[in-house]
Amino acid sequence: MLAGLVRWARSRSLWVLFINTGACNACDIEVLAALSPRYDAERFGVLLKGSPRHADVLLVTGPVTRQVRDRLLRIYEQMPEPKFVVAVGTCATSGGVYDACYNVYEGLDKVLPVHVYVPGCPVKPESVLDAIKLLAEKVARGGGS
Amino acid sequence: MKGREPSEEEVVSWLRERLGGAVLDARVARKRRVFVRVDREHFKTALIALKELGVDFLEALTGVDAGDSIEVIAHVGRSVSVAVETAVPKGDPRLPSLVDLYPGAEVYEREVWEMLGVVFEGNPRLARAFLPEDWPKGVYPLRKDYEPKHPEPLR
Amino acid sequence: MGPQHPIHPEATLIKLKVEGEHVVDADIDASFVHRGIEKALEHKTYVQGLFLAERICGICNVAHTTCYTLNVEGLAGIEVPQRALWLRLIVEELARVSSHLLWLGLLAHVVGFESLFMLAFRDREVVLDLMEEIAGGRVTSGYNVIGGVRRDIDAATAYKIKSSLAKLKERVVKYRRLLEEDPIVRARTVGVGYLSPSEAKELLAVGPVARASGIAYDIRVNDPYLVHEEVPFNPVVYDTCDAWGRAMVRVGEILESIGMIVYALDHAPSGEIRARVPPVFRPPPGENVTRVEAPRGELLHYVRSDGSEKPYRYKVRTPTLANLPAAISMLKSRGDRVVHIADVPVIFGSIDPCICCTARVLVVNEKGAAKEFQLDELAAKRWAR
Repeated sequence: MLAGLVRWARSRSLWVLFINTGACNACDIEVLAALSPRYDAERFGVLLKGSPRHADVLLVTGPVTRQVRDRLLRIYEQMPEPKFVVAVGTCATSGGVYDACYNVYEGLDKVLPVHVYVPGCPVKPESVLDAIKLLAEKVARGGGS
Repeated sequence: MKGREPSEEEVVSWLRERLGGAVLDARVARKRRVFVRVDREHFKTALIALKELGVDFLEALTGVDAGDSIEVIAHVGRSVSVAVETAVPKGDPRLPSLVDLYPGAEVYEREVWEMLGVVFEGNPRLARAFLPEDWPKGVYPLRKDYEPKHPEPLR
Repeated sequence: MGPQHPIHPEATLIKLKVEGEHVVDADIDASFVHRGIEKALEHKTYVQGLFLAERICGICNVAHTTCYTLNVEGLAGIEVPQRALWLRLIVEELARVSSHLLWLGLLAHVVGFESLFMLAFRDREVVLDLMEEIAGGRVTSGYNVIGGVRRDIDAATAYKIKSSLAKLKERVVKYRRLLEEDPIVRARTVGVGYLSPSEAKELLAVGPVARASGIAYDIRVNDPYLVHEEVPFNPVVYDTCDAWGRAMVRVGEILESIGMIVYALDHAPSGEIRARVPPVFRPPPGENVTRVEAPRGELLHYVRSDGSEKPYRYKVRTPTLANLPAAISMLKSRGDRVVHIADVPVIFGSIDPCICCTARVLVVNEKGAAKEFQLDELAAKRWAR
């Protein structure tokens, strides 16, 4: 019962860390918009954090370039358990338009385990909020990391 | 001539006058577009000559894999854009650096070097600009014999 | 490890060598966003390539598609209907407004002016809504296609655009006065990031960076593309050679762009908006160069065709790359021109980098000790000069 309570509480205060792994910036701007007052992710308990050690959720845009991979992995390792990863945008989901590009992985799940995929090129702020809601439900249900 | 940019025809006649037979081809493609091909020995000379004419802004350097040779194109000019093209053999892909003429050319030369393997002699810093540190030496991504492929997935 | 913030989207590394608080040497590593797009374009048809070119930069996506479509159309001899050129201009200028407002917000954030940051972002939402109404997308518009544009602007939309922009114009005029008069903004930007006119020339600077150092270089004037010869406007040029000048240029350009959009809405001829082009076509062998004035400066695309349905070579030279040497130069102290660590975010931001406002700065001091910071941490370090 206590575990359920903890999961419920966690699902209502997801602290996110954001990283761009080579995206064109369009998704980043829409994530920023999702966190801004007009769309207001904060009402779902989502707070943007500066350090991986304080984050539950890693929000990632971009198809993961070779150069950024190690830093991405390091950030992921520094996050405490339980941790969740959201692939924001078509590039993070599957590589997107960069299918013939030699310097990128074909999407985030080639590098990290992903819990929620948000399609869109770019995503819309509403989709980002929807993804957070989906993740919160998953966390509350006990979907593991 | 300085202070006013020359017309397309003036560019062509000036280069022919100064470089003579070293101009292999020159054409005015349309308004504000001139394409000139010069031999390798006169690539830099052509750019120096253009600078004297008032075409004194280097916009970009493009490298193209043309089979046995690599073509290097210097795009110069603010209003009229002049593409000065030359070719270097793949077996000896060297050109003099333009950095003393255009200090800002350093990063453009680095890009053409790392993507196609053209060595710009005299560039103070012919080092990687965009490729990762561990990119294999001698592999030039923009050469036609390189097939793009993604890095191996980690999972 | 430097943390990330969506406000500083793209990962870049600025390396600084310092003595005390003064920056004596600098370098910028922009390799983190290299994806391999030019190579990929050789493996895509011209139409497929358009969608990739659009994503070279999400903020400048309209500049890239404008340049790409004109480049390919010129190469293949495709005639674009007049109305489409006017519509392209409207969307291009709207994207410029959006980009400059974003930049203004980021500058405000870096100098600690959070309320201006909020206002600029709120204003930008208005422009994004207009973009969505016109093109179907807020950020990446997908508006330009080879042969023309995808959607028309009807009278109702035109009216909405004009009335929204009229309100925006009033606010931007206030922002301009703020930049002229606010002591905090001036303290952080006047004399900061100095780039002399001769340096701007030698280092091949473009866009607002060049125009703030007195170089009146604007592709819309020097090499008009679309219908710029028919739409009146004035390039905005300052000669203060500093970050303040660059801010004034961009804010001035927002006002010019608003004027251009309204003029174009009133004067665009009626007619077709798109020439029919087969999805796969083979331009004759040849080459073409197209340049546009992206929000960040001159963007150049070069294409070579070998007669097949895919480009033999497609080259993109972004304005931010052109401004990198100037940016590096601005970061270095020289003689009595001193650069403080706290100035670095403003200086780097003042070039409006499309490798965007970077995540990390590596600072090496005179003893050789190295420490990594996030860019805006430096802004907070000390600002009393």
